[in-house]
Amino acid sequence: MASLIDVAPAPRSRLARARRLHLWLALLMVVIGALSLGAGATGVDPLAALWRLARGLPLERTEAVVLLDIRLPRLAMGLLVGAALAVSGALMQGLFRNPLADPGIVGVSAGAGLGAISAIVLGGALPAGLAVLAGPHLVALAAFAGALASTWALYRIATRQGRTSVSTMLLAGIALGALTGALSGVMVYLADDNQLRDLTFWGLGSLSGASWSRLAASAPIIFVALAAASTLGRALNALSLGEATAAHIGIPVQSAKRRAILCVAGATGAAVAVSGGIGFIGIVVPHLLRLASGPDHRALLINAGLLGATLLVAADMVARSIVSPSELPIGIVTAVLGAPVFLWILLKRHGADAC
Amino acid sequence: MLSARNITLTLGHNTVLHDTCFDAAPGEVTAICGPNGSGKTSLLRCLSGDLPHGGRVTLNGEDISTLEPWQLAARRGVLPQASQLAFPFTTLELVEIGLSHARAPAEGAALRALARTGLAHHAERPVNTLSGGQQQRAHLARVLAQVGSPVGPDSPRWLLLDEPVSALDIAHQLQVMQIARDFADAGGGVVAVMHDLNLTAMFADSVTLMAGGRPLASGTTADVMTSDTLGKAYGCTLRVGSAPPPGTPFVLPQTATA
Ligand SMILES: Nc1ncnc2c1ncn2[C@@H]1O[C@H](COP(=O)(O)OP(=O)(O)OP(=O)(O)O)[C@@H](O)[C@H]1O
Ligand SMILES: [Mg+2]
Repeated sequence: MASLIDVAPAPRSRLARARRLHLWLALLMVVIGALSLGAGATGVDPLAALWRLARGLPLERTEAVVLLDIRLPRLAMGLLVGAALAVSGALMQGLFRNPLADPGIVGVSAGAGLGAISAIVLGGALPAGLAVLAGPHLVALAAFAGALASTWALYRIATRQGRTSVSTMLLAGIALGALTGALSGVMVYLADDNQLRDLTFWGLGSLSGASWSRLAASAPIIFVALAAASTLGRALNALSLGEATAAHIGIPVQSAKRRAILCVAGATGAAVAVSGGIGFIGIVVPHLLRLASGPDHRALLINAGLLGATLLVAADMVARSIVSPSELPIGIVTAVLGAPVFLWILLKRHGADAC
Repeated sequence: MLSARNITLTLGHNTVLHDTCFDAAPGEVTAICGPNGSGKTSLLRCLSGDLPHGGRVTLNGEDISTLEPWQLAARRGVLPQASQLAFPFTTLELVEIGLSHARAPAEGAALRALARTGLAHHAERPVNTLSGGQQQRAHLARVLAQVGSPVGPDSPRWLLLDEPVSALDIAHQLQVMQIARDFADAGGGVVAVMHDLNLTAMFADSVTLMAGGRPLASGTTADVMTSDTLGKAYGCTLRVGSAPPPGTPFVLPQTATA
């Protein structure tokens, strides 16, 4: 005889688990970051350098240069770019209600890429005054402008009477991506030999160009975008029920979507500007986190930032050590690590759909 | 009161609602009936503020187009005809999403709503693994949790339900209709799109019968549910009978002649 009152044991909260994960992922990030400071072709040991400092001795010249001007900015850039890509992925997936969406898919990365490539190829032809004004930030600014322009174009195409159609946006994104890709191709055709080498390396994705001055152009944009993204958790949770239901629940849907789009443009544009095309972080990281601690965006967005940062720094260590003293473009490493994970996810999804 | 005045709605090139007026009172269950495509869902979507339309909808005297989404969310919950969920949230997490608008949701509100719809034992299962009827009840639980008590600090609250029992077995149909009835009896307002005329007769106080994008009849259940009116709306001859003891109308599908 079944009891009339439906009682159940108090459920364990996955959100609490995901919140605890913040701490563990932050710890992991610190550990991997410290390891990456010690990895490199020159054999400079950060512990030895610390020990010198502790004894009140000044750093040797090579130590200072390698640690402070090469490895530290590279670590900082890896952390920022990784976080930006992973959070952009999580935002896009929430926005498009599709766990396979990514800034790469809706043409945001392609738009940023076109901006950056144009800056590399045509930068020399700028009027002298403008070139001086933009200075070392030219590529970053152009990439950000490209990302924003393609996101804005998408938004205009896909939005009628204040309502954004996700499917129109996805399809328009594919078309825009193809168009910007073609324009980038024209730019590559125009490039001279030196520019071509720059472009190839940039296009495969790399952190090797890291410097404090490049970081200064991108870091503020990424910081603002990440901070703004972390406030979108509730809205994205509600949006997974569809736009109409999200509005019924009390979410100001249009403004939430607009903020999400701006965050994606900012984070992706700034990341692409300094590091080129680094793929798969945006898809793999949120997926792994959903498997580990559920899809709640309030925790997912923060965890994605932490894990994305860690993963990219780890991938950079692999890229630097595998063919040492030379190095692989990091985009190759993330693709080799990420694509199988991505396929595995697809296979698992297929199995889940079938039964 | 929930009132709609002169609603005109155009979707694509179709004018789906023609100059439609509608009223529902708190303390009552108001059913919207009518054939497929007659505009029931469209009317409900106008009442919930989903679609830009001609005319005016007021909820407890306030024009809903002047209310912010979170203000509306505190005054009324909406159960759509079909629901989707993009990510593998558990049933409990789904119901908690419904509490997004509340600054400090009551302790255990989500679990209580699940228990009310008979789903407490499924709290930790991903919604996508529930059966169709269970999913419908899970979304109803989300709406119940969102709305909370039937009467707010200074005005009644509302449930707008689009075919809340379409996927349910007979016991759960009765359970869900009883939830709606109790909500109305406690002072809240319920508007439900219904296809089941017998349940409508059992639980609704008044009925608006839609046909071809306008209300064909509206009034008390007994006034609207006559052989004549129903026959006109659905385009087939029906005979309305009465169950002997309580005297509520019922319809035998066997009485239909093409
Ligand atoms: N997006 C749309 N574009 C054009 N026409 C639409 C659209 N949505 C609905 N309609 C039309 O509007 C009319 C009313 O649709 P509605 O969904 O309100 O019907 P309904 O009474 O709820 O029917 P059902 O009982 O099948 O749920 C139908 O003729 C339908 O074809
Ligand atoms: Mg309908």
